[in-house]
Amino acid sequence: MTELFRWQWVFDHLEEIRAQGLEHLQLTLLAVVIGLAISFPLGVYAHRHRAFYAPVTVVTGVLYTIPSLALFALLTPFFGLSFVTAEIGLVSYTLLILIRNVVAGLDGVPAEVKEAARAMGHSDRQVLWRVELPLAVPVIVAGIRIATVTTIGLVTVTALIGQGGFGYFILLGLRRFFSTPTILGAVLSVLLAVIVDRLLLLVQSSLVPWERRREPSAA
Amino acid sequence: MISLQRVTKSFPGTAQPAVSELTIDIPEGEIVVLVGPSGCGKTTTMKMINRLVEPTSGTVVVKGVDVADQDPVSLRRGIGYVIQHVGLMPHRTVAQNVETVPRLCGWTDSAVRDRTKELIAMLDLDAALLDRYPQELSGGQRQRVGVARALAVDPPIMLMDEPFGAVDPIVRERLQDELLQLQQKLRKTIVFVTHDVDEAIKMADRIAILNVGGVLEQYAAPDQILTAPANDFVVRFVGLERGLKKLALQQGGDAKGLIAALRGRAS
Repeated sequence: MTELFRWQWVFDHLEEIRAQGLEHLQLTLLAVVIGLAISFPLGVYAHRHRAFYAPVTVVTGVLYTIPSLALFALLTPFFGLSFVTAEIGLVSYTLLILIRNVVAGLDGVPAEVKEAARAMGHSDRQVLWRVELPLAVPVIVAGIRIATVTTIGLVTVTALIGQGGFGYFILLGLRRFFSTPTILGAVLSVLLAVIVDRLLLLVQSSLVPWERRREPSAA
Repeated sequence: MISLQRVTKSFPGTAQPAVSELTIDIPEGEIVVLVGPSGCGKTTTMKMINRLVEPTSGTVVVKGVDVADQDPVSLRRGIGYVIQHVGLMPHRTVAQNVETVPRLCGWTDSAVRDRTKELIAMLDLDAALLDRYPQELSGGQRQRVGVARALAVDPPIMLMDEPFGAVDPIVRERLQDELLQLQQKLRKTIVFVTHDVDEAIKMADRIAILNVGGVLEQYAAPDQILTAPANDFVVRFVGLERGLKKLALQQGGDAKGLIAALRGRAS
């Protein structure tokens, strides 16, 4: 009988766990930041120019449905077993969620608030930056949270192209028929997702102080 | 002060124009109330004054200049605007809301703060409310903040679209009274939109009664509307055949007295 989980193995590999955790975080954050840098202007543009929204959703939707394994395999001939290959794949999976939430967040701004802003003499750009975007923050951050949690899960797949963060342990365990690293990789990946999600929730509520006071008597 | 000349507005996809060939002169320092049933284009008419809506034809002149020749952003900063749902910015505190237009106009911090103090005193708002968010206020308080915000840069013109429509009758009456008192001091040119005839009679120096499709049926002082309605539509709309108004007219034959009685609640 082999043990399901050997703690001693974990203690022997602490340094490696730390390094892979850092890589996992790097792969994730970079993908979400780049994804947001692409999605934000596209979402703002699609909100204003509705005809543009459908094709954007189709393209990012198709990207989203490609199996991750296939996508990384298809990219490898061009970019090798590299960080770049991993990032291209990870970024493309964030786009659909992020663009959709940018557009939905802007759509959710009440019409009378926008009109009042215009009527008081905000220019179009001022309406966007001072009124629409601050009010869209909760929905946009919700999108960032989903995209981040999804990406943290996907990063493990990039272990197959020599990246992978905690995915490295999952793969290691599978190759050696040794359950400890597989379980460790999976649990740490989930743990990372939960922690990052909580942190983003904190960021969100610090960005929208007015939301916390919606119920005057709650305190 | 404001002059609409044969103004027509047709929205695409509708057979009947929202406003048809409307000509009205709104004199300086008066409250002109646009009143009529829904679909009479009263709000559309008001929005053409600050270019939230562009007329299909005709001209709108504000302070002697065709609005089509004015930059809409700076035009709007010079015209106060209050709407039914107030449109306070939910992400900004009361103080930040009131300070919106002065900030847009680039006032200094100290000038902005002084003005905000003045305004909350003028509108009888508690200074403790300044750091609250709009959703923490009562309906009446929100309306006051809306009026304070509209008055912030002391614009000569105010546009008010059913400003007291979303509050209960008692609060509405108090807000109406306060606005009339304020107007005694400020002498703004106010365009006031409502569907409530009683409110129109109470608030107006002149009433413009609009029919569906933005057709002007009568434009006159409240006592003239009551004593000399221009046509059947006005008679029906004002509701002369019913209730208190008729009684007062029969007994005293004195529309001015009736208006004084209605206004009496103001003091």
